[in-house]
Amino acid sequence: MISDNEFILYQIIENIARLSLFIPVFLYFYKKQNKEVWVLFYLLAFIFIHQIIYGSLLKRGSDFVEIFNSFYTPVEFLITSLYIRTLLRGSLSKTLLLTSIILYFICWIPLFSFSKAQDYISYIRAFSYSLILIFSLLYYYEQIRNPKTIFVYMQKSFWIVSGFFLFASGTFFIFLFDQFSSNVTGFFDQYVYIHALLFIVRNFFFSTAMIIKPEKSSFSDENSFLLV
Amino acid sequence: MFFLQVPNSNNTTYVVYFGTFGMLLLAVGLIVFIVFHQRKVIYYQLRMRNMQADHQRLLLQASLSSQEEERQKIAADLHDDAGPLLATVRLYLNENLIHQDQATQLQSIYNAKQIVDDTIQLIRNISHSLIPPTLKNFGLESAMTDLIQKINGTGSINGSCRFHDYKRRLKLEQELSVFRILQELVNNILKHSNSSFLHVTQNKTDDYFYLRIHHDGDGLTQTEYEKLRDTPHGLGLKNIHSRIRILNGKIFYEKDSTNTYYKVTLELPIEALQ
Repeated sequence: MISDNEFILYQIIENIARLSLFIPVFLYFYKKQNKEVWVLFYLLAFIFIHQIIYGSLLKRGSDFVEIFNSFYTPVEFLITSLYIRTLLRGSLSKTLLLTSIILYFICWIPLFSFSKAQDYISYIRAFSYSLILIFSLLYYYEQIRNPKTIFVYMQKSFWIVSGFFLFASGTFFIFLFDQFSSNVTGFFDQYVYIHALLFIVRNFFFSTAMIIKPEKSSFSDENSFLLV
Repeated sequence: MFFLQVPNSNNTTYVVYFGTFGMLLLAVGLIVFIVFHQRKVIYYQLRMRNMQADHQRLLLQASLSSQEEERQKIAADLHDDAGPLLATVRLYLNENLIHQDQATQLQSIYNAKQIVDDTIQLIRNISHSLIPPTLKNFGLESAMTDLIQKINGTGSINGSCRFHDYKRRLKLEQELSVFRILQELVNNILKHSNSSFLHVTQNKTDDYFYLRIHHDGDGLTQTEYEKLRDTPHGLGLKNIHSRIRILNGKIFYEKDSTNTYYKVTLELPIEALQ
């Protein structure tokens, strides 16, 4: 059981994490942004709206909370994957990514229909984040094989993908073991701390992406076997 | 998720902590690696591009020098040969000719006609050096045979030329490029190799068009060729290289394993010659 003090502490941590969402959103409007980050804006807006609706449904004790929450990860996965797809240049990589998205949703239907709510959230998140990790690696691979700029960290996309990558790798284990959260004492602590911390780190990366000015010089070497 | 049957509290806590820590460590390590490795790749590519640009510059310089040389040669021929000849014709046909007796007039006109004939021949020679008429009218095989016959005529070297499979002619500009390459190679052999024989052969496979020159004098190996080509003096070799590049071809300088002769092979992809 969680004591009242602990509950308040978790609330504070979670609210700090939620508030960190405002930084990249604020920077999106404050700094004139190019097309590269518009998907990110939609993702942040989606997370923000989800948090508000989820919070209000939870307060009301609505029966739709679980169903509503079960759509969060697939939508987040879809936006993230489509964003990474816009960054990839090789047609083979793009096709691979698109096939993975289709396969993901084919797997999602039975998972959504037949799993228990707690198991479903755990499986779908672990599955989504493993795919996002693979997509991010694909993006990094292309950056090495066919660099566009002298300094990779001068690209907005690098910071955005790194944000996804760090968040996905850091939260992978807590989402994977989320199905046992009711049996394991202390798991909820871990979940809240790790998730909130990585959520803030991800928003910090997104904010950096909003701030940096992309480098003008470009490179293109069409030798990569993925660029076919 | 059959492998995740871990309801043991302590184990799960450790697995989650260490798993998360390990994953984060790997992720950060990978990002750092990418930042540094990507920079290395970029510097390497930049160096390669600079080298290619230098090489292109050298080739362009060689091509310009070659053009200038050709122009100077034509200018010298016109100035030193055609100029005096036409001036002499003018002297023969000057205004005083009308006051001369008929025999002198006829003699002057005959002399002028002779000189005009010489001038015509001279201009024809200049024109032939720009594009050999044999090449234009009869193709590469005839032009090479003609060249080898001329070389044989000097008596200093024994040359032969054999085209095994040249039923369909290449385009004129391609034939001219190949001819210029062979001409330069033959010229180099005559100038530097002290060889007693020179043998030009042509062959074809499904994918490649081959031209080979064998000779028994002092020749070059591939390394020596590449080294010489990249020096500021190797103008002829640079021209050969740039012409081969235009044809998407390759050139190989080899020494026979018996050390009796040298072989230069020109390999041109059929696809590029269509």
